[in-house]
Amino acid sequence: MMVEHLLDLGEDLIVEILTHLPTRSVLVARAVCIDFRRVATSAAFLAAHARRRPLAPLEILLYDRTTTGHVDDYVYLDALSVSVRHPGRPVRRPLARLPATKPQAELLGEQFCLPLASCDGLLLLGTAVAGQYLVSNPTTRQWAELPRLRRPHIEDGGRSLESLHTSAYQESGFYFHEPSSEYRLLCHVTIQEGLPPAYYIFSTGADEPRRLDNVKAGSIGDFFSPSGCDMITPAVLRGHLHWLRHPEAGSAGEMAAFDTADETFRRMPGPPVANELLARLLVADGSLMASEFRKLAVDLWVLEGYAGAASASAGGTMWELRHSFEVPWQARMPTSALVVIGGDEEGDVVLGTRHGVAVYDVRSRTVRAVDVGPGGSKGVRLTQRALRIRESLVRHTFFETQRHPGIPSLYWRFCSC
Amino acid sequence: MATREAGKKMIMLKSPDGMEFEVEEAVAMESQTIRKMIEDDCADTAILIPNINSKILSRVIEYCNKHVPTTGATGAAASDTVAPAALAEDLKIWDAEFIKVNRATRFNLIQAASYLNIKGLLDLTSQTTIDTISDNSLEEIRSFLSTKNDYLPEEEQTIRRENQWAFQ
Repeated sequence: MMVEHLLDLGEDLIVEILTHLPTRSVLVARAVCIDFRRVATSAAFLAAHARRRPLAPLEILLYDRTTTGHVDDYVYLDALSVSVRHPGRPVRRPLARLPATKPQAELLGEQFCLPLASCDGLLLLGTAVAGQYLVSNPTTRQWAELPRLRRPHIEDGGRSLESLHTSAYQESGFYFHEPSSEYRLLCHVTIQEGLPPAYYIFSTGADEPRRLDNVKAGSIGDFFSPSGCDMITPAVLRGHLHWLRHPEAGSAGEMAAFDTADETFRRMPGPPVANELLARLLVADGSLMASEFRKLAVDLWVLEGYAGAASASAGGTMWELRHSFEVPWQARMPTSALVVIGGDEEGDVVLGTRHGVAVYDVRSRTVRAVDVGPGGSKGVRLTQRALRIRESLVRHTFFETQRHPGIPSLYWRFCSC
Repeated sequence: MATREAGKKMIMLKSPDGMEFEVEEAVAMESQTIRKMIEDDCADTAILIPNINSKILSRVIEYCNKHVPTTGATGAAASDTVAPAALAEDLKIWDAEFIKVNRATRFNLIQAASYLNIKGLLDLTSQTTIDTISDNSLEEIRSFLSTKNDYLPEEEQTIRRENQWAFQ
């Protein structure tokens, strides 16, 4: 039989071809004809297409503001590829263009949102309302609202939730809960001064946030860093979230891990760094690592023999100093101003400060500076963590059941920039 | 190397329109489907390739001839003097020429590459279609793929509205 049209090739082959398309082109292809739409919206196709997406290189998120300086400017949220394995000019991919908000003093009563974390191509955003969280898929422009805390647990005091400040909620990780296939936010909540805080789980699948009754939450105390950015960016590996500094990290020399399947905390040995404040956790090349800025170089500690938090608390793991490299801007090294950190499966580690961004490849032990464009108060700003954002067209029912119209303004909060 | 030329095992491939092609076993085994038949001993005399006419089959064999690993096939002299990078570059240029065919031929090559399980050929032939959809407007895609728009105008409007940003 001679094939005259693409459609004669049969559905399996068309699925195979269309999975190679960039996400945007899939949406265009759906409008070509009814058969294309049927193929390009089928569950089998969406899953196959999403499976190919993780091959996207390691990216950092940048905000870029137009430079005219008026309040009706736009803020651009771009993803910039930084992988050593994709050399040449870094590829910059626009994710969103949103009107810039007014200066902070004029923000009261305004609607704005703030990107906090990302998981599987979904962004978690906070708003000006304490305890309100939105989930957005920047690829499909869909928005949903996580169910809010309405009635606090009696142990947490009877105080009205409306009067709470956003600082009562400390977001502590956005993850995929495999047993239920839900996306969940772990949140450290202090409802009333003087009463012990508690952890609540905000979930895409529940009517209300659920209190974690198996944990006696530690006080936020010293762990509340001025930048407020440490807890929401845990290092994620083997179904666990890991923090170097956290209310559940225990005594000196220990760190905290959270099992995302059974939703329990564990303590495990922390890296023997000289100063925890200058150290950050990350995951690269399948290993949990800790970076530490020293005067002239960055050290990378690797947790050897790690197979999940249970293995670490049982012994058998060892932090080893495996890498030490100089960064291209070392002469002006501001030791405390680490802005972005992250790694990928292929062994790229990206580090960014206000002076620049560098990528280190743990396999070839090479370091490379990344050009992110002009900085400054109106230029490019970095977000806190490098991501592998997966473009995903996978359909989530919560975008229907918990649909939110979306908030048009993006508020940019940056760490020490 | 030259002494082995004579000892090369040959395989007969038959198209449904009755044409026969004698090819080296190594060349035929570029196709994972044929490789499996040979390894399972189901191919002692001739292999009938269903659904692929002689015109397409001859192009597929042409591709496999070019892409079969060069050691032994082209002789020691070629692989000693030509660097691997240059060989790869040469193949790329050859591929670009090879794929300059009309739409129907390309679709038939996709189908043949899929049936015969020749990954390189499937990637090469699919890429043109992928590029067509990626780089062009909706109207151009329809015309290049010769696909009829069977939507009602209001249906198409709804689909465009759902993901308006993708059409800008």
